[in-house]
Amino acid sequence: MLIYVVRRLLLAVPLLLGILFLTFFLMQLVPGSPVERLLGERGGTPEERARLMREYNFDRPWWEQFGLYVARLARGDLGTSVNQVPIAAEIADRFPNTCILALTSVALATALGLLTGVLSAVKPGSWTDHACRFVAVFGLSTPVFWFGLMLMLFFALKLRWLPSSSDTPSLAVNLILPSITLGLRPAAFIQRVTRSTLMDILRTDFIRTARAKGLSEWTVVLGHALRNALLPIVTLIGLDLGSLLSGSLITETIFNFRGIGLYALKGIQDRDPNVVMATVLLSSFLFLLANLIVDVLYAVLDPRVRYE
Amino acid sequence: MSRRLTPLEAGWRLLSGNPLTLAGAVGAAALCVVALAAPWIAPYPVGVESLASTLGTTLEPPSLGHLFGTDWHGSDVFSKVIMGTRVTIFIGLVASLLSMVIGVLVGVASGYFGGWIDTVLMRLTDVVLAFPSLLLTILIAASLGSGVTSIFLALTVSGWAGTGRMVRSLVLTLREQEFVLAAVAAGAGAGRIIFHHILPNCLSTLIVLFTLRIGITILSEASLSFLGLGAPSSAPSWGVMVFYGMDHVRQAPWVAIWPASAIAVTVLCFNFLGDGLRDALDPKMRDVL
Repeated sequence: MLIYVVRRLLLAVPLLLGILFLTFFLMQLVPGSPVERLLGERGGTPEERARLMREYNFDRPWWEQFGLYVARLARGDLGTSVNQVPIAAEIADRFPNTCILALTSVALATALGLLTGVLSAVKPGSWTDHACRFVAVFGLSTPVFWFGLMLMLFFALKLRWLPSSSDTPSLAVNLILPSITLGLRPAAFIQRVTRSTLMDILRTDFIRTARAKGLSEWTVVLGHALRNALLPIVTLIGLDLGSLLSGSLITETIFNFRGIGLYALKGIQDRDPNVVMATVLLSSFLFLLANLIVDVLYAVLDPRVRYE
Repeated sequence: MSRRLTPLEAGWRLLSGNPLTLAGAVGAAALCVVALAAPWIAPYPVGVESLASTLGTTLEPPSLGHLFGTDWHGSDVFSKVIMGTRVTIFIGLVASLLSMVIGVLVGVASGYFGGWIDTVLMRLTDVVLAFPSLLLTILIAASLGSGVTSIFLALTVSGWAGTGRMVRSLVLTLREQEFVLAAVAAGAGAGRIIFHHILPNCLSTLIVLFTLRIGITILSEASLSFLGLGAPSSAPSWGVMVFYGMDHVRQAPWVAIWPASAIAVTVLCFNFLGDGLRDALDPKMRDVL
């Protein structure tokens, strides 16, 4: 198992390098001289220009620039943004926010998805089932920004219960609307997988045995069936968490939530190479890590799964 | 049943049994009609903002005269949404088709020829798949600058990888089947085997993937536009309309709500249709997609 984990982590290195290279290549496509672009209309003093040249090695060919960036990265240095803020500090400041938002969203999504999924699966074809499935399809089809916008209009602007922008002193209040917005889609996915897996399991022999023993229906469904349906659900929750941890660009933009997604977007808008590279690297790394953790959890949850 | 169903009969059998699929099919067809006939449906011409704004009818709430109200320029939001159907559906269809074509080319080359081609293409696929998709789309659109071409490129480059992986696995299984072996024995070349034997057998999966991809593409385009990276135009896509509507969302929420709802309904239609098609054409895919 340990060998498997180490091998997967080693395999992630070339993948991350590939992602960095693709990002670097895309940043090269931005038209115009990078120094002019970064300094903006005011042009900047000769010292500023010299500093940017040093920071990004713009005087070297692009492959050397990439090599130098990777070499610096290998030493654990993410560099500074154009306005000279260390990127590592900015990420350390924002990442906890994104983490809390991702965790609340996934917790909400899990609760909602499992509840509606179980309700759907115990009585397929019933009105409850149809209602739950409709909510799921709604969740899958709704643009995140539309849903966020509606929540904001209704709860923040019409009822005035909650702030429309997440910059109030109370983190809990700031989290409510963004986490509902962000949790809708994962909830829909969890509902679908719970429903289909649970329905398959409810048809198996050991469930008939459990019922024949005279167990109550809820013990059968929650104690016997759901427990065996957990594997794909856990997979999904893990992968959702992995993608949400890299920050949600849209949700963080709508609610002006100070997280990684907003930082990545700002980096892209400013065409700030170091910020873009760092945020892309972080996002992809978290995504790959979540995949790995899910695969390991498989083996823990299901003794039949073995990795060589 | 001894006789093969004609496509029409098969289609009807699929739709009549499943109300959601039927709703999706009707909705998608209606949207295509609206897209084609947009200039005749829209009650007001779009793009003569300067004239209307001098008449003092800007940001007018929905009424009988202006079903969805008017925007900041005094344009009729309903007419703009109708005209936006054309842009949005066009981008959705074309960008989905482009990413499907690339995905199929990559998948077939990878699965059929194997070897170093497979290694190179699949590592590339791995990189794109591990790249957070929206981030990649935004990065490409932002690097290439605003414009329709950069949006198509962004949506295509970030969208082909899933199809590529799927087609490769299909081709890998099909390649080992007897009928392909028979074709090889009969002396058929690679091109003939791919186009006459392998691709026709992938078709049902490809149709499903394409239908579901349209919804994803429209959502991605809308997200791009929402972040201000859409293509500016006199007849903007729904996403671009939402982006500009956000400026006045407090005083005039209808300017943003209607196009955003149009996006939601459109994606809903294509998802219903895609789900129904998947269940009907390829029940095995239930777990995969």
